[in-house]
Amino acid sequence: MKELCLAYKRDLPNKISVILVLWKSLKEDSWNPERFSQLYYLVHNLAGSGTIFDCKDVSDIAACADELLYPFIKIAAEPNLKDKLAIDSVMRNLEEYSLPEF
Amino acid sequence: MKSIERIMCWEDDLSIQIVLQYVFEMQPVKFLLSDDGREAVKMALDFQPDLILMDVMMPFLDGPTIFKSLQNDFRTSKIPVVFMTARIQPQELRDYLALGVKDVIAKPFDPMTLFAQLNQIYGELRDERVMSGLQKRSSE
Repeated sequence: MKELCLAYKRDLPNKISVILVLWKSLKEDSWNPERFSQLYYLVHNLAGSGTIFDCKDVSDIAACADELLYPFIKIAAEPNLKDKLAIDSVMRNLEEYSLPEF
Repeated sequence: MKSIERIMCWEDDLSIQIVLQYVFEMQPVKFLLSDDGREAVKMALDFQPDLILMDVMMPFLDGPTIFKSLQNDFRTSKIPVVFMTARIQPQELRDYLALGVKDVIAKPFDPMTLFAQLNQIYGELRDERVMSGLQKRSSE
C-alpha cells in the first residue's frame, strides 16, 4: 500500500494540473459542457481517492469542489459568475498540490 | 459464515481500480474489475459473482444505470449490489437504497477493512435469505 501511495503522490501534480487547465479554459474560453463534465469526474475521483492514498487534504479540497460543481452537472448548466468565483477559490487551494515537489 | 468467493467491481478511476486489485489480491477471492457497464449483464452472467461492488458516478454509464440493467434481467437481478460513492448525502443514500442496492460504501474507503466490510454485508444477506427460506418452509 505504501508503494501505491507513493505512486499516487508522484502522479498527483499531473492530475491536479489537468484539473486546473480544464478549469482555466472553462473560465476563460466559451463554456464547454463536455469539458465541464470531464473536469467534474476528475474532481470527483480525486475526492474519492486522495484519502485512500494518504492525501486527505487534497481529498477534502476536491470534495468541496465536487459539492460546488455537482449541481451544474445535474442540471447541465453553466455556473453563474458568483458560483464560478466560488469554484475558482476552491481550485486555487488545489494549486499548491500541482507542484512536483509536493 | 460463508465469505465472498467471487466479486465483480465497476469503477472508472484507475487509482481506485489499482487499490481494489491490491485489496482483492490479498484475499482468497476471484475478482473482475471493469470500467465499462455496457456489457454488464453479459459480464455478470459469465463471471457469476457472489456480490457486485459498483461506483456510482461514472462518466459513460453510471452505477444506477448499470444496476437497473442488471435488475431488468431475471438471471442477474438476484446478485447483491453494493454502491460506493464519494457523494453520500442522506437523500442520495436513501435514493440508492430505494433502488434496491444492498448497501452503500463511502469513498474514500479504508483498503485494510474494505473486504471485511463487504464480507459482512454478504454474510448478513445470506443469513436473511436462509431465514426467509426457513420461514417460507415452515409456513407451507
